Amino acid sequence: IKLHYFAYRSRGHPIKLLLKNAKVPYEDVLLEFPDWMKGKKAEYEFGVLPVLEMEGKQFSQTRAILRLLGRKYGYYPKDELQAYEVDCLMDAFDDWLHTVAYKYFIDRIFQGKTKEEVEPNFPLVIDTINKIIQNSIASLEGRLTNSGSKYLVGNSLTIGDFMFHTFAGSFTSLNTIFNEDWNCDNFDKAPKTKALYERLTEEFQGILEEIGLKDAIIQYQIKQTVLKILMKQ
Amino acid sequence: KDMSIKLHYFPLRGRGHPIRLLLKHAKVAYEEVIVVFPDWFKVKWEYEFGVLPVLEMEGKQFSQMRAILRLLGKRHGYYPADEMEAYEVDCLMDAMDDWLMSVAMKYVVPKQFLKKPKEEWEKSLPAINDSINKMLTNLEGRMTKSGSKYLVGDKITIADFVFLTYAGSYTSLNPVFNADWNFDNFKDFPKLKEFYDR
Repeated sequence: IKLHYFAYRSRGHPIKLLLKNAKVPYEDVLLEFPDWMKGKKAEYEFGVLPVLEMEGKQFSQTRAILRLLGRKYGYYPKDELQAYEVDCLMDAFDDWLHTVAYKYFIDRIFQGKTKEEVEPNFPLVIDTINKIIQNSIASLEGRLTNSGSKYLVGNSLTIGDFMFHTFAGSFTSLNTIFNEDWNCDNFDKAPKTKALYERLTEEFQGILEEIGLKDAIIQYQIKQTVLKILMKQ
Repeated sequence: KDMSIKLHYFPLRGRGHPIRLLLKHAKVAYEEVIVVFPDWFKVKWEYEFGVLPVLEMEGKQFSQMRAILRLLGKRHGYYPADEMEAYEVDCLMDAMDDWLMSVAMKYVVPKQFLKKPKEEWEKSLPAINDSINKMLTNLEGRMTKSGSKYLVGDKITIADFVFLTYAGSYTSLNPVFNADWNFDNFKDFPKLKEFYDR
């Protein structure tokens, strides 16, 4: 089994969390962005990552892969209403990525723009991002309060938890890099949601260390800075 | 408590239409709650995730088109029991949503919502056309290979409802787009065109 993705968390990470939790061995195939833009993209079925190579075939689309593996290894509810809850929340989390990534992440992290360079757009961007994140977190908090469940949905780990942990850690104020710019607490009114995040972090501790991408975003930024310096020389 | 089924969406096809197609095909009675654009920003955050479509059913709110389609699909027989076929349906729906997003963001939003002049969105058309072609090539290939009458397996699935909606709205099959694009997305894809017409 090979997982093709870039060297940061985002959409590849929930799949890694699942495979590690299920103790299924796999290999990382790490792609570099310049290679991707130069033509590697065309080698993949839909021109998107992550792609899972398994049983001699290519599988695309994060949530479709998570659902397939989830059914296989017991991380996807059999009950259709619980399955709906997981599906709905995963789609909402992916919206975070779209919003935060396309309005902020790409400028700030990919293109390495400084806070000063992006700051003029900031108030509107941060306002939009915050509304969406706050709203989802409020919904999540409501669900967790009503259900009293131990995990995101139900009382055992699901693919929703893998996705929640990845995205909450990267695309909210829990990400210390973002918090430098945002200086707000997305979870100040969501104690149960925060507690879920912390509980999952504890449960995944060994796995996160194995995956070893805790500082991927920082590594990437450092690499970009070095690249910029080298290109100027 | 009101237990009738209500579909909340804008007055267009977009992400609401596949759900409409499913409910009509399954002969399930439902009501349309049309949200017009001037009202949208007033009511946006009354909906759970601030997005439409939302399906009101059994006294509850259900959000996210694909999650709703999967639930209704399981209940009414439009979602495969086989996990590989289910994966195919999921994967195609996500890929088709990428297609919608690129056409919507680069063309529909600037042209129809923000009313920007042609010069501003015209240059996106080649790239959009390229991504549509890639999508259609993939789908045509699948249908040719499987020899099936439908996108996945041999009966209608939620992927077919999504394809029918998006093909009708976001390709040259849409006469509004064709006025700007003036070409045929389906000229190389006879199987898909035949499938769509059927």
